Amino acid sequence: MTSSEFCNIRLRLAHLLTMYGFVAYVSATAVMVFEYPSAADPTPAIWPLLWYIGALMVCIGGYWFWFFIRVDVAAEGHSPIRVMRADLVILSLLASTTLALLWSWLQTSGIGWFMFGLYVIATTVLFGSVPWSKFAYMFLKPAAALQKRVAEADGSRSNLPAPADKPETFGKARGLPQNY
Amino acid sequence: MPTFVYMNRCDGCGHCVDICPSDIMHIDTTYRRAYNIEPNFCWECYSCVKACPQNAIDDRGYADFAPLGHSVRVLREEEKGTISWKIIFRDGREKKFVSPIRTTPWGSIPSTADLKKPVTEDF
Repeated sequence: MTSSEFCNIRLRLAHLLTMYGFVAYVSATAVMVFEYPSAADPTPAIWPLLWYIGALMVCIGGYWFWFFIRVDVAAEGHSPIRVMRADLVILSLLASTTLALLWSWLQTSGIGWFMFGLYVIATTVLFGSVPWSKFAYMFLKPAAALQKRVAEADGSRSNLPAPADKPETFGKARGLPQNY
Repeated sequence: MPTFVYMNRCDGCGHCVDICPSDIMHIDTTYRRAYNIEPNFCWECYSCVKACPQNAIDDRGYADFAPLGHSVRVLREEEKGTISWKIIFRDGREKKFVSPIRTTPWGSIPSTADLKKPVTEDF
């Protein structure tokens, strides 16, 4: 399973890191909360490990994307610390996973409950703000992907020309062109 | 006849922003997709149309002087060194062209930065 929409390899890697990390992090959270809710139920070591790995993957992919890859910084040249409403999802995701890791490391210290409160707030913002951020994409993306496939299947290709097939003149797909 | 972006196909990669010589292709801050901020300044060079990896940009005349029904679309395949055009006329005729992107090796044309700086004595 890959995000085949991205031709930019860095964007694709960051997206895969964030996506699979989030799946691991959320799955491990749900299992630990519902299957092993108390100290009487010893948690297998794999679940906290998956939780940490998932949160770290999200942080690595997310911060890499935020500071270097996103189009506002890479193409438009805006400052990485410029924030707007469209950044709600990525910032709340980064806040949630960063605070989750900080809470896990500081939970036995004096500020453990404070970090936990911040973590819960950030996670609530992440999921609660979906109607104002990614809700439309849940319908738009599948519809756009379907429209692309239909255009390929019916041969119209959105009036685009067919891929060139002139290796003897203009070079082969797996080699440099030889037309000069 | 300015360019416009099919926002459902655009993935906000920013290639068109980088290549536009007029600096009029930018990213919408709400939808995070590209759009032409000043169609009046567009000279239809097709740089953004060719650069878009998703083929999400098209160039079409305004309906008041260029009646709809025509289509001019281009596909640039850098790995093959080809650029292909498909032109559909209003009467249904289609014309297709395939050309090499260039006829000299990449990097063979010297940069103007390497040229000798002119001095007054040369004139």
